[in-house]
Parts: sequence; C-alpha cells; structure tokens
Amino acid sequence: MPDVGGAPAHDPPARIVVVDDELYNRDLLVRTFARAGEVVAASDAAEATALLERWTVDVLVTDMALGRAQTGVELAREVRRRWPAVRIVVVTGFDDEPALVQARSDGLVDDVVPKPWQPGALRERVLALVVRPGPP
Amino acid sequence: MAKLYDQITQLLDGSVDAAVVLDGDRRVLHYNPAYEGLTGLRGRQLAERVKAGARCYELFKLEICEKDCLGCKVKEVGRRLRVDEIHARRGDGEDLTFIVTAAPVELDGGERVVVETYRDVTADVRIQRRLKVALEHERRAKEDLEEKVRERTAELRAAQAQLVHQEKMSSLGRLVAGIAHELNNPINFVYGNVDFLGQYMEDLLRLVGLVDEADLPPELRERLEVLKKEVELDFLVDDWRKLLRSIRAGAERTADIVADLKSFARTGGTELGEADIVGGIDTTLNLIGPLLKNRVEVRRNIVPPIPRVLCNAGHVNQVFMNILTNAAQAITGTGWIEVSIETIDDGATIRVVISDSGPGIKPELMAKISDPFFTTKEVGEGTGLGLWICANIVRAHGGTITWGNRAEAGAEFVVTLPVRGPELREEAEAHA
Repeated sequence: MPDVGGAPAHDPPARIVVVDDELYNRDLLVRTFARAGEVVAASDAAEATALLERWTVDVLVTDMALGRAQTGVELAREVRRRWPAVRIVVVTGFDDEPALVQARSDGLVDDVVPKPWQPGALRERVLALVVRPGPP
Repeated sequence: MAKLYDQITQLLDGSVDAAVVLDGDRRVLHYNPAYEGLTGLRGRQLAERVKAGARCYELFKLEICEKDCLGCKVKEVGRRLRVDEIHARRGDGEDLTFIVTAAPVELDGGERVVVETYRDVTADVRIQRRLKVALEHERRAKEDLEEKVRERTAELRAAQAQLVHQEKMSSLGRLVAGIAHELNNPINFVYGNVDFLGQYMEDLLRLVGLVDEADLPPELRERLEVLKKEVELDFLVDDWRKLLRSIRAGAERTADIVADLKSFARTGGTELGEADIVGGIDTTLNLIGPLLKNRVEVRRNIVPPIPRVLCNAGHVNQVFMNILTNAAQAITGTGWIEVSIETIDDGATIRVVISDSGPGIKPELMAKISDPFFTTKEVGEGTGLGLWICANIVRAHGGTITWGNRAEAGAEFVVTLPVRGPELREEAEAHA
C-alpha cells in the first residue's frame, strides 16, 4: 500500500508552509502534509512571507520557480534572514541550477527534492527537519 | 677553288661562332678567330699545328667526335646537319655546350670540304635549366597552394557545419529545456497524486465492503444490490487497480523522458574539468553490476598511460553508462563485454572501444539507432533518447562516436575524445 501519511509524528504537530504557483502542485503539497501536521499554502513569495509574519513555522517547502518576482532561492534568502529557525526545502525540476547549488552550499537551503517527487519520500525528508525538544 | 673558298673564309672570320673548314680527311684547312679560343692554343701554336695537318678532333674535341663524327655523316648524306646540346671541353678545361652545324661545300675546283660551326650555348642552356627549375617550382607551389586552398576550404566547411550544428544543438537544447521545464509540473501532480488516488479508493472500497457485509434493512439491501449491478462493482474492484497502475506507469514513463530531455539540454554545458575516464568507466561498470552479475564477463583491456581528459565528466560518464547498459541488455543469457582504452594521435586523443557478445545491430537499423526516440526495446523500457544524447555529448566534446558489428557478431562502439577538450583541439589544429 502506498504511504499517504498517517497521524502527526510530532507533538505539537509540525507546522509547514508550502509555496507553489501551480494550483495542482500546491494542492498536492497540502495533501502530502495534511495528515502529518498543520499545513498552509501560499502561491508566491509575498504570500509566504505574509504567512510567516503571523504564524510560527517549522518548515517552508517551496517550489523553485514561483512565477512572479521572487524565485524559491530568493524567498529562501529572505526567510533565512528574517526567520532563521525555519527549515527550508526546495522542490525543483532542475536540481543542478547554479543559483540553487550556490544556495545549498551557502546553507540557505536545508534540502532539495527533485521533481517529480513521491509524497511519502518528500514527507519523510521534510519531517526529518522538524526538531522537537526531547523528553525532560 | 679560290673564289668560293675565299668568300667562305672571309665570312667565317667575321662570325662570332667558332668555325672551321675541313677537308675530306678531317684536316683543318681554315679556322676563324673564335675557334682559337676553343682550342686553348696560342695563335702561333695553332697555326703551326694546322699547317702540320692537324685534324679537327685533335685541336678541339666534341663528345660526338669518336662515335658520331658529324663531318663524316655530312659527307655521307651530302647535306647540312645540325646537332644541339653537344658537350665539349674547351682548351682551358671548362665544360661547355654547343650547337654544332656541318655543311658540305663543293669548291670551284670540285674539291669537297666541310664547314663546321660551333655556337657556344652554355649560358642559354644554363638559363633554360634554371627557368625549367623555376617553372617546376612555380608549378609545385601552385599545386601546393591549390591543395592548401582545398584543405582550408574543407576545414572551413567543416567548421561552418560544426558551427551550424552547435547553433542547432544549442537552440534545440533551449527548446528541450523549456519543454522539460513545462512538463515537469503536470507530471509532478499526476505522479504525486496517484498515491493519494490509490489510498482514497482503497478507503472507499473498505467502506463499501463494510456496508455490504452489514445487516441492512431489506429495502436498503435491495437498493444496494441494484446499485452494485449498475456500477458493476465486481468489475470495478478488479479494474481500478489496473487503471491506477497504468496511470502510474504513464507518469513514470513521461518522467523518464523528461529526465532524458533534461540531460540532453545539459549536454551543451561548459563545466569542463580534467577527468579520469578509466575510473569513470570502472564506476559505471560497478553501477550496472546488477545487470552483469554472474552472467556477463567484463574484459578490461587498458593500454597505459591513459591521460586525464578535459571534459564534462558527468556527461562523458553518461555516454559510457548508456553504451555499457545497452551492451549488457543486448546479451541474453551469458556473454562478455570488452572495454578497450588507449590513446591515439600521439596521445592527443583517447579511444574507447566497447564490444559485446550480443546479437549485434541489425544492418537495416545501423543508421537509425541514434535517431531521437528510436528504440528496439520493449515499449516502456527505453525512451529511445540514450544514444542520441550520447552522440550529442561526444560531438559537443569534439569527439566521435561510431558503431558497427564485429565480424563474429556482437556490436562494437568506438568513442574518441580529444584529451585537451573541444576548443583547445580546434585551436591546435588551426595553428598546425
């Protein structure tokens, strides 16, 4: 049986913002994390930063191409600067894009997942970045 | 005798050519001032020798005097004769070239004499020879020039073809990259959603199963049975998994094609570095190990030293990965693959020959196998882009890729790559 996610793995549940300008991929991202935690979607960088201003987030999962002014890497740069605790995962069709390779080596991005991705695999990689303080 | 003879001698004395009058026995009857210079004798000495009855060849000997005496021939045939380019040594020892004429003359008294003249053409001959040599030089230079023009024209044509090809490839690369980019999103949501579709269907069917098993009021049971018939539930349960499999297979196959298109779009990459081709091929053999295991013997035949090659290592490895995978897949049952690596062109080029014991390439397919989307594999097993991409990668590196069948069946691929990379090699050729 394919893994489509079960109960949240974290307590409190992981908080995830997904960013994609493509409606169907955005829905898929939401679907992928819906059962694993709390997920909110944004369709571009401005929406994503607006969300982060109001909400404490564990991981930002963004597409590389966001269609408008900012790319995924540019969004990552801003998020890293303003919310250094937020882990950042970029999904992309072109994982060897120079800007992305550079961002990765600069530590702006925590993980890069190539497209097409499998929901189970992406979920696993994203949730692995969520850190909760251990039991006292 | 007197009148004609006097006229002849007067005429000869004024001539710049040396001349003598000979009697029937080749004795010199008269000689002119120019003749004196040829004999090397002083005026009086010569006069005494002539007076004493000296013969012509005793005073001035031509190369033909002994075997082919011209004067003798003239007497026989009774008319004037001329021979060109006769060699003779002048009295002072210098070798000269002459035009010699001899004419029979019957004097007033009926006596027959021979008038011989010697024109010194040494300088002319020398000039002619030089001219001939110069002309020959010129002819050869012209031929060389024509040859060079032909070569340069061919080089220019090749360079032009390469430029056109490169331009074509780079615009094709841009087009392909664009297509790959555009296809990536739809593939992603088809591919990613298949899992959810499967889960949702399973959940729904579990629910349907539970309802079906439940103890329902007769009215509801009847409606359920009607609906089950209407939707052909048994068929649906059986068919939906097949349907899901085909959606997943379609998405995966499309994703493979896009991945190949992406790697093609990258073949124009400029990230060159010095790469160890032998190491790359060994790694590739390890990677395809599962394809070879206990089935295909790998023979390595490496002629050291193999220099590092300036190339895009990822792309070049992709080429060998493709050829080796094809070879492994071509062998049904057991067999072997041989990899030979050596340098040619005085170490300027590395040559890799990969041959296998498979069935070889069908002759009618020989020219087609590098066409995009051409494949002999089962539908879904190959995108048909592999060898096409390989050919483009090798070409982008300034190398060559050729293939054929071995005499004993089995295919053979030959890849050559310039050790110093694509551009450098062209420059080196331009300077050569």
